[in-house]
Amino acid sequence: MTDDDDVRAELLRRRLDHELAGVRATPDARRALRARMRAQRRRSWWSIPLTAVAVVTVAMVPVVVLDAMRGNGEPTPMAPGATGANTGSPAGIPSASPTGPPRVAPTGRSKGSPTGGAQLLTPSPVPSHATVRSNCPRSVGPPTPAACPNQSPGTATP
Amino acid sequence: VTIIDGERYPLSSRSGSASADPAAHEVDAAVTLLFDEQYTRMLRVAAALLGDFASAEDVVQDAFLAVHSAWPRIADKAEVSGYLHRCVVNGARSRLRRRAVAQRLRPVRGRDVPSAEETALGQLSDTRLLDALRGLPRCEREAVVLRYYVDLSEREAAAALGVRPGSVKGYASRGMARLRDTLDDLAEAEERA
Repeated sequence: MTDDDDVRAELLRRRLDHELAGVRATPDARRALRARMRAQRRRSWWSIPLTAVAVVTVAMVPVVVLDAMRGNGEPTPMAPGATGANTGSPAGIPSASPTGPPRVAPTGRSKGSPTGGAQLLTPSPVPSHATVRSNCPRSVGPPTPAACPNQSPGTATP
Repeated sequence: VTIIDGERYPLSSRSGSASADPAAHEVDAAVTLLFDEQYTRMLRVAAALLGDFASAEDVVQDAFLAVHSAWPRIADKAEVSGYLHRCVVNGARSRLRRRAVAQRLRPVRGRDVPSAEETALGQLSDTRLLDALRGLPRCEREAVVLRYYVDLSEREAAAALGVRPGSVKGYASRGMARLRDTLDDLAEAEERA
């Protein structure tokens, strides 16, 4: 560092001191800080258990959801507007209302209609396998005839 | 027992005070004493970095509050000053980032209104050096302020800025080079006066 640099550094220190000398704390700065410290201390005693409860709750949500999904069996994809498998119709197929107008399947190419387009749906008189399964009590082992009279052991699915 | 603003603060948790949490009051007292020693200087550092008194005061208050929160975790109390410098520098950086975003998003019509920093610096009589300082890149401005105003060593300034000591040396040197014309003008003006 040359002498000129030393002189400039000294001038810089002096000028910064001079120009920043007008910066002063506001009169209530200390009171404001102490009020904020008190507020922080008041907040801290209940925020710790509250945070712990919140973290546990958030962590439990996926566990509960996964458990509920396992408890209800395999989730079946439903068509928009379908009323579900518990109404007596096969899973994933909307049931036709006996009183209302016949329902029309969503547009698009479907397996049952080679030409594609809309298709009238009528309720099936014979309950399907899915309907039988949904009425059976849930058991861990293979279903027995006593537990599920509508289902033969040969048709049991794992 | 320390008395601050008419309140009694026990400096030891064994003092038998009727206070609910003597340790908390002890921390409050220590931070209040630190405030008395360091607040004005920190405020000037923040004002030099930001060019805005209102923001500087907010930044320094937040820094003291951060020290208050971290007090039990600061093992070596001699390090409190360095921690405070780091908090002020980080707070100033955060403010500058937010200000840059706000200026980018500000509608053109709003440019007629003088900015907060213009208003604040207008309160000072002679701010030629501070104006020149505001024109420096952020790293160089921080290095110049910490090295030449706060008189920190390169190692201390590096700890406050979160860089290596060699980088502080380079930033301060480049900042001084950029300020050379302004400083020469100021020197001439002083000689003439």
